[in-house]
Amino acid sequence: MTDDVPWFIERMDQLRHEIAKVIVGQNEVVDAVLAALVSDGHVLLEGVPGLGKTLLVRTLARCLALDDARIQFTPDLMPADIIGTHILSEDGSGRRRLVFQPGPVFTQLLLADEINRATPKTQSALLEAMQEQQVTIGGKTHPLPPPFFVMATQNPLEQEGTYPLPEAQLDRFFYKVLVPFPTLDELIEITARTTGNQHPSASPVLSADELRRLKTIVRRVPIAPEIIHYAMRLIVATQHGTAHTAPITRSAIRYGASPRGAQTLILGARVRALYAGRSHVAISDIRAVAPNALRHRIGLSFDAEADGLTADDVIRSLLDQVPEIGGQVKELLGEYRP
Amino acid sequence: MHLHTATLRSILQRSRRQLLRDALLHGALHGIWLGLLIALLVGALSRFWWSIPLVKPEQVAGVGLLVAPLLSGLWAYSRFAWTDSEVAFLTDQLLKTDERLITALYLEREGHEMGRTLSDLPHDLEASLYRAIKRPLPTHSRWLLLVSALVLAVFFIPPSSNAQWVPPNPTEVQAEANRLAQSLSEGELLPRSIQDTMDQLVEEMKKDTIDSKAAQEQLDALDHTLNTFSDQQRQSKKALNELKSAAKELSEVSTLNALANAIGRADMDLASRASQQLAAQSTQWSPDETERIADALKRAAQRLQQPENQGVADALKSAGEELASGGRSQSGSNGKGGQSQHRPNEAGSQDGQNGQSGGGEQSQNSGGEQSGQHNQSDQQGLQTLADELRRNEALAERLKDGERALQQAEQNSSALRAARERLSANSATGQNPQSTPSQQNTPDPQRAPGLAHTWEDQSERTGKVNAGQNAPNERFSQRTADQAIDDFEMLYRSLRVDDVNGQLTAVNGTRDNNGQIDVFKTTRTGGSEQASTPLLVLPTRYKDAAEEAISDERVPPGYRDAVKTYFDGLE
Repeated sequence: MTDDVPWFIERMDQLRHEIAKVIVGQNEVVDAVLAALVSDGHVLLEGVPGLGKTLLVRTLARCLALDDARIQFTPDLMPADIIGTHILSEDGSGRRRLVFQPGPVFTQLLLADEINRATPKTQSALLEAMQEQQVTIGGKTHPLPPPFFVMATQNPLEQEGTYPLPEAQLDRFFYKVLVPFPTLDELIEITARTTGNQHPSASPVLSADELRRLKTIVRRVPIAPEIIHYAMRLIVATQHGTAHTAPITRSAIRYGASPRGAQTLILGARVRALYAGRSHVAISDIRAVAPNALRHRIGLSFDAEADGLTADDVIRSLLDQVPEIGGQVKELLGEYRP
Repeated sequence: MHLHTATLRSILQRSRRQLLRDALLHGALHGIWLGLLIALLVGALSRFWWSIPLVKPEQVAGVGLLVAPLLSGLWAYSRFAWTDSEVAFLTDQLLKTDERLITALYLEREGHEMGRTLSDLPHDLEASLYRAIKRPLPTHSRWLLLVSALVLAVFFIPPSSNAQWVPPNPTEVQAEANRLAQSLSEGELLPRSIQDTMDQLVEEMKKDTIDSKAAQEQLDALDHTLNTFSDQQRQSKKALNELKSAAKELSEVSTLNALANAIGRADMDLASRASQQLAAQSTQWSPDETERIADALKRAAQRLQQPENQGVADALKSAGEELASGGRSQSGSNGKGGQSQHRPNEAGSQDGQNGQSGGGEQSQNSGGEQSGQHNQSDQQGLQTLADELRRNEALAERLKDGERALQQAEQNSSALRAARERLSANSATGQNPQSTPSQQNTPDPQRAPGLAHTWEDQSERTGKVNAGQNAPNERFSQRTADQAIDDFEMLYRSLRVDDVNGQLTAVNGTRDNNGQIDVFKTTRTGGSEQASTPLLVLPTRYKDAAEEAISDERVPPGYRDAVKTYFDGLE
């Protein structure tokens, strides 16, 4: 790990820098997307249209020299429109046969725009592909080209006529990232870049092998058992009827995070530790990635929604109520902190 | 700064030691609170509620304050069972090292390389370690001083009347010390050094810091000192007795009664005034009377032999001679009628004066000038006597003080001797009275007669009580087959004041023309006042009881001779 961390930081900085040539601001979003990428996860972005979500995927694809595709989900979109279908094809000799025509999912970087506008059947076709990394059609399995990375988007404004993703499907996303509206300065920069004659573009800076090495490095970052224990206590705190259930859970959470949430916390914390130049995970890393990792994994109760609480509010309360340490260490620490 | 495993272990070890020290200190602080609570409870109970027959409450509180912090600190120390991970985790939190130490510990345990885990730690890690890990004192410790002062103040509250600490049963030395404290008389008559020695000895015996043997030795030494002092004061008594003898001589002449009384009481100021009055009256005396007075003065002077009375003796003699020479010359001029007759009884003095008055007129006419001169010399002699008496006023006061001091010294000496003998008897018989202060005046029925028993003691029972007889607390003991009774108690029982425990300190006997009269001086053991029984004529059965006692030979062996001599003197 001694040499891996500087290399990781260098490559990631290079990647960020390259992306920043095209994408103005959105640093946290970019970091979260990259964290999900190197953790073999998928990202759900929630933001209003026009924030550069599609551009981000395309820029990322160029930086990584990967294929990319975009699917605009609409209510009439069929599963075959995503995964592909067999079509009757006639060769030069006139023979007809069924030929599999792969759908847009057969790409390395996929942007699934407004995924909540498609029907659940269509959504499930994509989500199955995300989970399995392959598509099965007509009894034949077609693997998806690695690294298969999906970045789905949701529009928080237009909720009528949409099909919100079911909880089980939401759980498949590594992060759910809220894309904020650009700041004034960022908006000025965006306008300057996109309304002139110059069209900034990104260049490939990372090969597939390097990407694989990045992923390997992430999974090698050591994490102390006490920190894993803290992450697990966070997950268990979202469940009802356990010894570690947090008070906020009883009042504001309908259903809690799954074990995938625990995996996300660990992997996301590792990436963040590497971002910070550390070769080990700290408790602060767990706390930092918890919102992105858990906000789409917990269901708010009616009371919470009626009170206007958001998932982020509940996660903040959760972080306050779940102690970082337990036992006599916590008891003793209380004497040091006024 | 890169740390290796050894350095990591060193850091953790130092952290653990500091945490242990802090655990001990905090435990001790909690123990101090517990000790203060114990002290407060003991102090409050001993001041306001009941008597506890234990050691002093201050001692209990002190032990509590010492033991509680010690035990509490040790208990906290023993409870400290932190693992390396916990120590590392705490250190990480306090130093804000992003959990480097626990990760390093984990890697070490798993056998992995630490790599960059412990890099970029501050260079002053050790200094910051102690600064950060030193546990702050608990907030309640700021009240410790104030509460300690309040608890201490409780012990300064005077105990209520029903909350007096009852000391455990006193030893024989302590019991004797209590007796001595009540029987020893204090005053300014005894020298300060003797008084201080007595007080110190009594104090040491009360505190039981000396054993019985040492107490006996010190009592002996003090008694010896008192005897030496008494010997020095006996001179005063002798001188006063001489004055009384001289007064007796003077009292044989009625004219000198006032002077005699004053000199007998050693009241020199009154004697001086009496002498001045005599000087004024001397012109009216007849020659016979003058001669009688002169003789009385000269006889009185002869009674005074002690050096202290030399001045008075010389003045009396001189006055007597002056009067004698004046009387002889006056009688010579007046004829034979002026001669006086010396009789011990002055009953006929008045007749003598009447007889002289007739002759006096004749001599007066013929020898008026000569008698006038002698009258002047008579007056001069008596005036000189008056002056000398006045000059001896201070000396007389000293003599009286000396007599009182002698009396006090003898009184204390007898008390010391009695105490010493009781201690000696207890040591010889192996007894330990174990008496409480309330039982000090209760007779000990186990003591054999004649042992540590003087006739100056209060009447104590020495015999066992058989079934059906009076209870031991009754004043009069019952005779048993093998124990003697206190014969003196029986002799004097009718003279005692009821319900008063009196200590018979002395018996003074004086003889007068009507018989033996005894004055019994008693001292109440419970108080400081002295009471004397009135002068009584001894009852007739005084002699009967004495004869019976002597014939029954129930007198303690040591006192037989004294008893025999005493009663023989009554015959």
